[in-house]
Amino acid sequence: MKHAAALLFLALGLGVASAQSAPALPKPKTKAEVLAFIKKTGSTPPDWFAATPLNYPSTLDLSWNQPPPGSPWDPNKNVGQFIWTSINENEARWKEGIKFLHHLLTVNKDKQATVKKVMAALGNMYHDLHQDWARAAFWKQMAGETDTLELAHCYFKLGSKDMAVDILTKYGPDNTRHASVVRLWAEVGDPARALKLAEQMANSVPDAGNLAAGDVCKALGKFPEALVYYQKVLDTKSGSRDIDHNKKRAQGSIDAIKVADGLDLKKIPDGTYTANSIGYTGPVDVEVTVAGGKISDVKVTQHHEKQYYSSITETCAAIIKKQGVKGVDATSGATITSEAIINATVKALPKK
Amino acid sequence: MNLDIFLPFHKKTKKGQEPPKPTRLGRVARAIFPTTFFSDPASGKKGLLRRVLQNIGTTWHSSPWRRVVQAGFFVAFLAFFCYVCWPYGGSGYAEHRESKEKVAAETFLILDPLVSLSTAIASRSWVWSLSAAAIILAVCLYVPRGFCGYVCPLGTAIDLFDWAIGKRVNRFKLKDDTRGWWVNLKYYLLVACLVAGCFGILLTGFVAAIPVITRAMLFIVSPLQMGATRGFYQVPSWNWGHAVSLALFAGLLGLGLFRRRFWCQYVCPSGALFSLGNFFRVAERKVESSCISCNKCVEVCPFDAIKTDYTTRAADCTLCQSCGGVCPTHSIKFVSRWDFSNLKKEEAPPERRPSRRGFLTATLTGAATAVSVQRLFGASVADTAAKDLPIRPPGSVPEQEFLEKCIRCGECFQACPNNVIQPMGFQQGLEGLWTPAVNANWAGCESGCNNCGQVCPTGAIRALPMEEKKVARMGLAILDEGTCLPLAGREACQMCVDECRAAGYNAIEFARVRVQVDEQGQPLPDSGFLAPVVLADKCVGCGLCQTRCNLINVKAKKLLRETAIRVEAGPGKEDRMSSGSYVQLRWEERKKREAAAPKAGGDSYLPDFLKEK
Repeated sequence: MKHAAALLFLALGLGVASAQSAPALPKPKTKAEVLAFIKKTGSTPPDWFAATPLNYPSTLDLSWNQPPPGSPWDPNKNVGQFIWTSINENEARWKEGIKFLHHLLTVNKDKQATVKKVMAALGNMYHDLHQDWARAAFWKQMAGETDTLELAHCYFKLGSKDMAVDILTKYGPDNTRHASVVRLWAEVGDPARALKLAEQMANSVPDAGNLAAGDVCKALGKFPEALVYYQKVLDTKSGSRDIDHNKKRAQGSIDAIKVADGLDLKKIPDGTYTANSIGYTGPVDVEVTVAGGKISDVKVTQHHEKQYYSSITETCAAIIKKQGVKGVDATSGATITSEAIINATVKALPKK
Repeated sequence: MNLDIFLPFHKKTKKGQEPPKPTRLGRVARAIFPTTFFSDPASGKKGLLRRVLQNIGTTWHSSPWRRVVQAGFFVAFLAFFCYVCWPYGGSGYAEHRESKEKVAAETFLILDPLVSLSTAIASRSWVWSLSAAAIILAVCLYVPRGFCGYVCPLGTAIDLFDWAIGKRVNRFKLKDDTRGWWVNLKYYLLVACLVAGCFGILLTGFVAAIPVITRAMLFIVSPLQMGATRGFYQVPSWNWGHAVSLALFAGLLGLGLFRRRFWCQYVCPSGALFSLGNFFRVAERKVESSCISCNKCVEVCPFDAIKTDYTTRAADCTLCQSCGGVCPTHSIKFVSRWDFSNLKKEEAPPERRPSRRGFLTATLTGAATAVSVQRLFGASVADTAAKDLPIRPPGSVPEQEFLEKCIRCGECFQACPNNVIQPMGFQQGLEGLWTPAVNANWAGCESGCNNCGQVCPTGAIRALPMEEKKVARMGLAILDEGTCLPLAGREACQMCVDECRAAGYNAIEFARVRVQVDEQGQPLPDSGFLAPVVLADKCVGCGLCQTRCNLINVKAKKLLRETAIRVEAGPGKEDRMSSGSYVQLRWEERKKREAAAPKAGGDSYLPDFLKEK
């Protein structure tokens, strides 16, 4: 499950970092305060715990034996696979997941190794899914973790930057989880160190290093620099699944910046630009007219949408009014059509 | 009692004669309008009102009030159909219909007494609209067949056809006094319908006045309205059912080439019910002895209700009073049935009574039709294992009862905001013709809409309140694991999940499939696909998932030949209840599931063995 945790950690880090408004920094606390808080909160259940039903396939092997290598993937039998395919992927099941793991604790109370495994899983689930930092730290400590990045992240979130930095400094540039280290450095407030680390990393693994550097810049709002790093990721020669994956992420970030940063209309020559995007029933064709550095008209030239006509005129009018797609809300109840118009508009306008 | 409402023939008062006293209606009119509106009997000068009406036509001139009432009802009928039932603004379909529906949109359907009577007989149950039928029949004791002359939108449509086409085509016209075998057809048809009803087959929808005109509106006006306002690509495709209905309607109008209102006088079984009601009439048309036998009344009568001796065929008279307005001697009056003063002639018994042989034939025909519809062209309701069972609208009663109650009027199709329900052709035989079935490839049932049940006149679709409708299962979404894009490992796709979440059902969740593992058996991050899983206990079969899969994956992207998720009906997949609460049903199911679920067995958040070592 290590990979899963790492990935989710990354995703969450990204999510936090890419939020537009700067996240409120946790109130600083001393080490003793943080540890006491973890102990106190961690020993009590979350308020929804009692009301959450226990729900898992009856075919599941609750002893959580590691399936022998090469055995088929079977989420109805193997606990780890069940968590991976069903719990993690469905937000509606996240509370059930916690309930299930606590049930596993009781069921396996006589097996020390399994208990530790369940506690680590609880720590990950509280961290990755619920963002419940105190309980995550509590169960990670119970599982015997001391210097993990997730624990460092929890400490930081609970108010102790020092505890987080203590752990982070133990990770050199040669660590296999460098990308996570870079992002955490940026998050705890040392972007310079994060960038330096990322650049070092880019020497050996250009895709992951540049991606991490781009993410740091993006989180700081330095979009032009971020775009340079992301472009470097895209320029990396494909070769492995990981590289392709990182390229996809870089492209996603570039698109997000384009939307978030607004379009630099001044640089777009006058003209009519067209593109389409899939709406409710099929492609929605949009025609954007730029004149004198301004969006003078947005028209839906063809569509076969079946309902919510108002969204078509409303969304087009909103794009013209806001001179871009930033801050244009999808018409409620017609989000798909609205979003198709927004996406097609972004697609239509030439890239910088 | 005096029910005169016609505009009396204008006569100049002779010297020394008292001018005629205006009628009650006339006095009211004189109080409202300026005097230039009215004629002056002394000088013989016609008033403005009379001159205008004369220009419009004889029937407007002789009995304007009747035409005004008729037009009012027709406009109301059109408004119910083309405005109240559809279209809606925004997405609050139910609220929007409710806000417009000051009077029930299906009013005309529940006023047609044959609709409720035959439905009640066929389904052997009380149909609430019977009470409305009783009321209109009671009113018609005073205005015999008044429904046909004043209210019925089919009658008005036939009048319009006559005005536009019928009166210009003389080729097929019958002579005024020809009365053949057909004059009692309506009674036979009525008997045949009711006998078929006794066998549990509802034929009324083919011939009853209001279902016929409502369906004509649905198949002619509705596509035009949809096409003109929303684009013709939104008009669902047609099947043989449409063709049959339109052919019947065309034939019905075509009868008008023989004689005005031929359908209404001789064929319409709803009209026959009113004619039978006329046995108990308390008012009727009477002719006084001052009649000069000028024949004007016979010529103007649209219902062939005046005999050659100028007395009344009371069973057919709609009290339209056109005759009263054309009578130059003011000899016609509309008074109590038992008012025999000053009559030209006592009423004679009807000259061509319905024959015993006719009724016998009708009874046998009705029975034979019912049996053959069931045996030869039936819906085979018992065969629930059959594939492609129709998916009925939410809140439909059990299938057998549904077929017995659905009058095939078409009101539900019009009220459905996106044509989710569409009329069936002959897929279910003759028995299922024109019944509503969900076409989830076309559109899905909106979670915030319960309009079909609200406008159903017979309760074939129950008028469920919103909270009930939201949990009433009309089917179950079944996933084709062989073709679903992520399940087949072709590409990422989560449209069905998104749709289901947006609609608030959350009945489709994700599972990661085709996960790749490393050497240690650990899953590779982001490997595989997120695939849909239908949660049967939450799915109501609305079909929104199927719609999206069809529109994008099948139609737009051409990735699939047919949708990978399909709503299916059948036992265990849908709730078909005549009564009772769906909310209650869901609650009971949940209790049962919870009882069968694994017990937490005293798990605590922090088990004892972990507390403070």
